[in-house]
Amino acid sequence: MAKTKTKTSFKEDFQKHPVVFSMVFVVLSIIALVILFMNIGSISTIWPTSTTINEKKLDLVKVQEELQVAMNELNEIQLDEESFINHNADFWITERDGNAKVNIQKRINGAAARHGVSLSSVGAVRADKISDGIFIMTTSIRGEGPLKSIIDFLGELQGVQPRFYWQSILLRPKNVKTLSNIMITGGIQVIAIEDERMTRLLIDKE
Amino acid sequence: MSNIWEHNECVVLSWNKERSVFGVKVEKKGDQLHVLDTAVSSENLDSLSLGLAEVMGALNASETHLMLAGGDISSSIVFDITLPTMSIADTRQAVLYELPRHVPCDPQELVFGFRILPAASGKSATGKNLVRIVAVKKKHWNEIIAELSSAAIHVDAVLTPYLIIDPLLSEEDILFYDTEEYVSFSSSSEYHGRQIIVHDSEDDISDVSFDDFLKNIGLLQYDIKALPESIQEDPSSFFPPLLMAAYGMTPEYGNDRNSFLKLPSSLIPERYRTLRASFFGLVATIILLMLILIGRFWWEAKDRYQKITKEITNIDQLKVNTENRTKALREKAGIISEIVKKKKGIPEIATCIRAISMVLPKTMCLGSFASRDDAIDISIRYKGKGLTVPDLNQTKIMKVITMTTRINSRDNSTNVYVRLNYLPPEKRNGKN
Repeated sequence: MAKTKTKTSFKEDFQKHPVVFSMVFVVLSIIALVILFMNIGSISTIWPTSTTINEKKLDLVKVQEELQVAMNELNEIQLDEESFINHNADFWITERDGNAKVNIQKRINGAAARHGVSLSSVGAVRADKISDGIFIMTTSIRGEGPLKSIIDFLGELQGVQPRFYWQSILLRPKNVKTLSNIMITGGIQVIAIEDERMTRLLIDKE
Repeated sequence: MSNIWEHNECVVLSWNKERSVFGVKVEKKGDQLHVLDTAVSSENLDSLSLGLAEVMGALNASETHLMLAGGDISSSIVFDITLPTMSIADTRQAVLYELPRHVPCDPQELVFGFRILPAASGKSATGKNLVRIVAVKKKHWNEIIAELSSAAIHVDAVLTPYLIIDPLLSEEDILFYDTEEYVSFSSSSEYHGRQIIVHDSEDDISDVSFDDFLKNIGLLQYDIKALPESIQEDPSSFFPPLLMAAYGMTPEYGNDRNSFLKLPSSLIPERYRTLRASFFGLVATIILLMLILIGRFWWEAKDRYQKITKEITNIDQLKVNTENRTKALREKAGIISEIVKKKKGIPEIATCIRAISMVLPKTMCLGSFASRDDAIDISIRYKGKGLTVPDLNQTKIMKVITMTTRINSRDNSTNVYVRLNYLPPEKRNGKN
């Protein structure tokens, strides 16, 4: 009964003030339209058209290309890193190989002594910094010996790890006529790594 | 050609002054009409509605039939007027305008209906129509409506016999005793061929036999003994329903029905319910299917859009992760690059010397060997003519860059100076 009464009252009210009700309806309609147009973007999301989907597909292609570029860059870096790690034997890692300054000279002198090469001088090992904890250790040698001894000496230094890089070398006979002894002069370079992070990278992957 | 909306059977319920109800069911077969059934209400019923319901049941009538009702309507007045030819709506307005001249009461208290009489009896050929009007006091009309409603009977029209008598009985005088005792319709040369006559007594007009009546209104003969027993002696009570039934089966009924006394919509039969229900069902099914189709389109579009959006988000995330990882590795990569760049020199000096020695013939000797970074300079010395230095590229670990030959005329020896490039392992065997 109450419901019927309410309906009747509303109807009566509407009949009494049709202009007021119409104005309210118009205002509500305008608000609804404004909200509709303000959210037109979300409507296209709710019911995407083929244009919207195609635009989204283009976005997808674009991000795929960007991803490909990023992955190529990463891949390049990783390959370089992998190559670096694979050549870990080329580097003097202090944690693995001991003090470079001392041991480089020891190894050179040891090899020379074992193969009968007389070294007149083995220069002090000089450390040039590449980065924090990474150095180029260089030293120079001067000596002489029979050709076979010299070749064996060079062969031993070639076989040791970490590697000794000859920055320069000069082999020439002491006497051109007799060819009895060969004089050797050269500069040796070793890359020494003390940096913890690089050490871990190289040693842990061994 | 018959119209599917035309009725082949008509049921008429008629009542007289005593509120006895007479019903007939008429069928149309081809061009012929014949009475299927008749019924009369029981005596001593309390109300008209009970009689109507009883006869309705007896005739096994339903809304599939054309349903007409009529008979004695208190305070009804029937009269003819001549009006110019015009539409039904205009005619209604014209009748309303004419009512006060013919009916001695306030038109606001009346309801009315009318018929434009057929051209044969009317005057349409001269641009005028003969319009027969029936006017009833609202009070009495509402009583009839209430009786029909109470009996739960839906009817297509409520008529009086005088409204429809023309042209079915245009050549006959007829008196409906049960309706208006002293009023007859007569054929007359005056008054446009039709005349409603008020008689002083019933005796002024001769009786019409049942058979003649049927014949006049175009119905096939009907055995009078088939009528209810109480009516067989004086079957004139069936004249009004039979007349209305015969009229209902004529094409004129279809033309006239819009101008009859207006019935409330609740009293009008709701036919073709199944057809309408089927139609609405079909429409509802189509709408439902369309909604399903639209819903499916929506779902597919939304699904595709969401999948693409999700894929973009995933790829974006992957890209960010990749870039972050690249960023994290870049510093280390910079150091590695610097180390690789600074790594200069030849680690395989012994191998280089051995390789050169193996390639050189015994007639040639290595005079000197010098290197700086990756470049190697060697001198080869030999004596004798016609000798050439073998291809030092055979060594595989070095590549010849330049070769210069000098002949020493003093001792007839030849010095060959060769510039080679050391090939690290990754550049050998055509890897570069």
